[in-house]
Amino acid sequence: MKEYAILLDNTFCTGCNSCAYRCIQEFRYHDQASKGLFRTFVSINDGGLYQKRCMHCIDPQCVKNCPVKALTKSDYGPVLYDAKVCIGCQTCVRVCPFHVPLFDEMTKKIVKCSLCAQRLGSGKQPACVEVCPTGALQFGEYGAMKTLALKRAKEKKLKLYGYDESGGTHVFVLAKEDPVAAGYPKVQKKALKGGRASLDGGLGVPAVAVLAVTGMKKFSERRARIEAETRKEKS
Amino acid sequence: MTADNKIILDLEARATVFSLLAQAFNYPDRELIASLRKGEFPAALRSAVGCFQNAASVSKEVAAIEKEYVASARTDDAVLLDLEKDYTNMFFSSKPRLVYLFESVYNEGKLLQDSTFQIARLYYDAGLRPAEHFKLPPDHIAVEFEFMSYLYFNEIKAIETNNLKNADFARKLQDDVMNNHLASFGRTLAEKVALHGKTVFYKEIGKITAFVLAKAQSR
Amino acid sequence: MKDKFEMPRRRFLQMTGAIGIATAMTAFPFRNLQSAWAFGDHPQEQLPYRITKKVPQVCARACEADCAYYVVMGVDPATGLERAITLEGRPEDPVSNGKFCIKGMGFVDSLYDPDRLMVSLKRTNPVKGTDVDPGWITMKTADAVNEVIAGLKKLKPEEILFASPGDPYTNRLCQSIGATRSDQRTECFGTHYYINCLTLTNPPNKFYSSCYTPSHHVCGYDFDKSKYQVWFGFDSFSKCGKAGMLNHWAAGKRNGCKIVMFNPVRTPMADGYASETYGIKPGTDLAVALAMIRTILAGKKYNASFVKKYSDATALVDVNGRVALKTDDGQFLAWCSRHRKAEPIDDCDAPVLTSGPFKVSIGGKTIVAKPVLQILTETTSTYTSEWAARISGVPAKAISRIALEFAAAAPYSMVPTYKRDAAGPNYANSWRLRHAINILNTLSGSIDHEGGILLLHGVKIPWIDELAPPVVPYPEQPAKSVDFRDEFPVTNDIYRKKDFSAPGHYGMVGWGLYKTNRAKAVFFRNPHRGLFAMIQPQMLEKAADKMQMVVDWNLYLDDLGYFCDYVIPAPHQFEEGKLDLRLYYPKYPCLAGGVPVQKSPGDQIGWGGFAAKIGLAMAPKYWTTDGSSDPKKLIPTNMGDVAVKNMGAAENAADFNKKGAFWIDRKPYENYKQIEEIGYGRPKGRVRMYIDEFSQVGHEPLPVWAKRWHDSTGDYKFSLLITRAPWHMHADPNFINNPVMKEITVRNHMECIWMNPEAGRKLGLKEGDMVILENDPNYMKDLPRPQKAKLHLTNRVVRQDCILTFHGIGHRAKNLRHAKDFGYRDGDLIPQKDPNIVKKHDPTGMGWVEDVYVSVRKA
Repeated sequence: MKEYAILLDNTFCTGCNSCAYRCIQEFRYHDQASKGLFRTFVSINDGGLYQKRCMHCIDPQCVKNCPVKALTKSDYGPVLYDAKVCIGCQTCVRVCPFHVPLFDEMTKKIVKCSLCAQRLGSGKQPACVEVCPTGALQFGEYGAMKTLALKRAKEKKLKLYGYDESGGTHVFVLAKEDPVAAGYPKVQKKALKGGRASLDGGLGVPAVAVLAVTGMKKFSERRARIEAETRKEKS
Repeated sequence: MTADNKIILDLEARATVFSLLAQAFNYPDRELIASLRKGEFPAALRSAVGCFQNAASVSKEVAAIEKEYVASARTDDAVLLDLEKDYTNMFFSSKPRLVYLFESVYNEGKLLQDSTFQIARLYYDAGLRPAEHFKLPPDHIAVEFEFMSYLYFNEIKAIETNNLKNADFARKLQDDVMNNHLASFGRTLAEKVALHGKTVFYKEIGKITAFVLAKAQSR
Repeated sequence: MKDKFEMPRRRFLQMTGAIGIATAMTAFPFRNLQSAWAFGDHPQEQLPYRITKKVPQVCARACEADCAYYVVMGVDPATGLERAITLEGRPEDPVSNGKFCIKGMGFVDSLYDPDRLMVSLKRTNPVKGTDVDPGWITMKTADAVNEVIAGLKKLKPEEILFASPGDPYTNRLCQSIGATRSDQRTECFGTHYYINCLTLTNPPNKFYSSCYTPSHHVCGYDFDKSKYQVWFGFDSFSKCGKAGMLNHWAAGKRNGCKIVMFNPVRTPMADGYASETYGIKPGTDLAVALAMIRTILAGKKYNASFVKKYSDATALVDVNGRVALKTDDGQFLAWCSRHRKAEPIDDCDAPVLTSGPFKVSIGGKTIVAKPVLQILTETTSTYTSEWAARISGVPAKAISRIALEFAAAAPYSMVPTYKRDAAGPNYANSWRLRHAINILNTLSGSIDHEGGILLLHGVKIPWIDELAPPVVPYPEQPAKSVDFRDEFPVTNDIYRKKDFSAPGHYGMVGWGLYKTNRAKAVFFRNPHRGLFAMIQPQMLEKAADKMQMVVDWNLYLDDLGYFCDYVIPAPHQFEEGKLDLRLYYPKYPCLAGGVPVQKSPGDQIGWGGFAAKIGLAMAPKYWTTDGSSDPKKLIPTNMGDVAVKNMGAAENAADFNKKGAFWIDRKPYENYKQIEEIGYGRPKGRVRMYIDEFSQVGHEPLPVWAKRWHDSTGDYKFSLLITRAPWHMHADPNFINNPVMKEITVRNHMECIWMNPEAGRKLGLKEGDMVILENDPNYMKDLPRPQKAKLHLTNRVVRQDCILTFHGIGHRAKNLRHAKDFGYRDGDLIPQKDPNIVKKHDPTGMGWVEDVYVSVRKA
């Protein structure tokens, strides 16, 4: 399978958050999102737009530090997350230099972008890329996206983020002004680890698809939700 | 009395209880008022809930309904209007909405969600579908109560005709509805009705429903 | 299906028969379930739980664009139960180009909003008000509709106000009854609509049907091919979310289009798409536009061939009477330099553009006349860039340069404008700005040209009246209308004689309801706007107390419900069929259809059916083919069938939907062809710059400088700027009652008022402070209602003399569990207008939504 990446040209983004909402409908996590747990989200800040989303690092700290291997780096780009394996220790939350994984207190699980791994398997783009009204988000083969990012940065005199932050990522961000001023975390730049990341237990797309698409919700989850709502109402 | 007879009596009582609760959670009408005023509704309810352990613990609620409506000096129209206003307020127009009638709102926060699909599939599995005239989502509490009543009757029928397969099937569906649907949202809904109902009828029905759902989970 | 319930039923009846179970008399003793198979006999086949299907739909009411897309459905093949999951784009749609936005997706989730109104409600407590329990009872909708009709029948037609957009059914209904129709929704488009109707195309024309467009706009913009654009406040936050436009702006940007933006607020659109931005003083854009006109005229940089052939530039105007001279058959006259006399404009081979005056003899009288372009040159002669700079704060050199660059890029240059920008109904001088913008677009020759202004052509959806002309003339409209239309002859003429769907004067309708006794019943055909659509809703709330009947047909029980006698449930927009003619981007003749994705989950009634019931009962001769009240003789209303058949798209609407509900004719756009067909004075139609209807009501026929209505005095020094979060639309609960969008709003501080940090510092205010916004009592004399709001200090508000507010929050409908009490309400700060004041400032009578200064103090 090819290795993929996203190119986000911030000069085309308008902060409409269609990407955020399409992601929510793709994975049907409306409840989590209404509590602020977004897999991708655009903040309209004074210094510019900040699209908070997993950067899918080439050498992800979350994967390195996860004690139960709930997080894995796939050979095709995405950092994948298996909620069944996760023990909710929040190590990834602490070590991610981009402050990406969000912890859901109710389910004791992580909320994080999977690059729509289940869609890639059927030849589709990630949902956020497909919906982006201006084409600010582009998706493609890692090498091609990297080349395009470098070329456009040079031609349009744009700042490039995600290229060598934390040893390189699978998300390239182009911006007119310093992305850090727009809200992107200041992350130490390191020499690129090289394109294709180590397999290290990576999951194949079909398996990921099963994990990523939540099926029927379990009764226990429902009960927990109703009890939580009831507690809130009583309080 | 044989063990089978005892079981059948128990199932008949359950079927009746759920049928009465279904009636209670449909929009109030003149037939409900008539049966309340004649004392038939509370009498049947008292008799039927006797199948559950500690039924005496809801006898005062049934008595309260009896006291309020049987031989009341108020006209049928006045009683009906009160129930209509209370029902509309709780379920359709309160600010904020006090009680939702539909299971999925409790589970997924919205109408017509996965849990709606699941309960509709259970109706289908049992050979049922919502009536043409019923336009609301099929996970309406009254429909789920009707469904439970239907399942108990079919268990009776299966036992009486010695159809073990159907008896097992009825029990399996009962367990599914109770454990995965009614026990969770139905109890919450019942407690809210008990809390927010302004009329004696809904206040007490809320409490009785909560009791029934707590007890009905076990046989 | 045999042996469904025999034994259990018998036993069941034994036990329950005595207690009067409602269903005991039916064959199957359950009320809401029916038997499909005998119990246990069902095969229990293991069908896949969910498959998907795609239902074509067209967005409506969420913005001007109306993207076509598919609604992706989850289906249980066993039970047939379906649920919408998300949207999928239609790349063949020239508007959306396969895209859709967050609001479109919000519609999917709002289908299942548990706060949707599913039954009809009737008030039992006659006392109204926000703190009063209405004592609602539930009614069958059919019964509620009959009671509403009985209530309307007790009134005279002039006592009934339909607060409704001018859709075909409402038009027929109001015209057949003789009742006033006035609408808040389209009022925000009124400035554009009326000025466009007076300059570009006068309705009705062979293509235009304003009700089929969400914007009442009569043209679209070719953002894709344009090379130079000037935006006067066009880059609002709400624009940031409009996918049907964003994809075109992105295409334009990739094509190297230069965009100059004037806005006191720096939006993300400006971040990404502006070549230059200027933090203009609010309400002064007109000065810049006038200076641009002056610069272009002074340098003779206008498109001479266009203005001669396709505009009234050469038309002679009586300089004393201030009316255009015309032949007996209505043609303009031009001064022929060759024959040295006035000639019909289309026959004149050497028309004079500038110079004059000329003496023209008409009917034995000598009239002193000048060509329109000459008068325009004289009128704008003092509007130098330096003059405009002093008013607007925009550097003079920039204004001159921009004007020349704009002219140089013509005809691939344009000034686009829609509703909530500077040329919307926002300032008392906005209509003049809109007029000036039309003149700029005329001088550049960008009207009816690729890369400029695109005009609808080659496609038409008929009106009901075309299918079923009234057998006798409609009764007269009320002599005194609640919204004071009758006092605005320029727009009243269009409304009464040309286009009954023309926008109402909602900036005054609250005033009319509150201050007069003209209306005794108000019917809101208002599916999800509530009181929010009103400016100063305080007036309507008070007025509702004295109404005999208030009815709302609505998707939700919203804040309007506090004052209603009946609330009738409406279907969701995805539960209705649609046909749309893509006016937002009319480059190609195109039709896109929408198919209902599901049956409404309740006792809802569609508007067509509801209107027909009222019409049959109250004005049967206009609603049946034989004048009876027999519903079987209902007049034909199958406009969709006729439209698709006429276009050759399909045999009828059902066939059209079967074929994918989409039709397009991708022939190249023919520049300057449509203007002749639909322009002023057709059959050889022209753009009209000189509007003599204005001079006849004491206003200027060409745009002149006028400052805004509201002055800044004392503490009232913050000009109220209004925008919306990109994911909101008015206070539409489809979005505002969505908990996810609420979270997105909070995370972007859009539940706050925004203020420049330096302005905040001067007032001693900090980020997150609660503040009170108050009106100047000289400008809001009745029922002021100050607002309490949270403060966000941001340098996106470029100037210190304004604050930015977000429309659509501050909902008072407490039964909307996420919307209630969230944020503040901007509408309370915008005064309803005294019609006598409006007449002095604006002959179109539109609202001035942003023409307000407020004070800000710590709460």
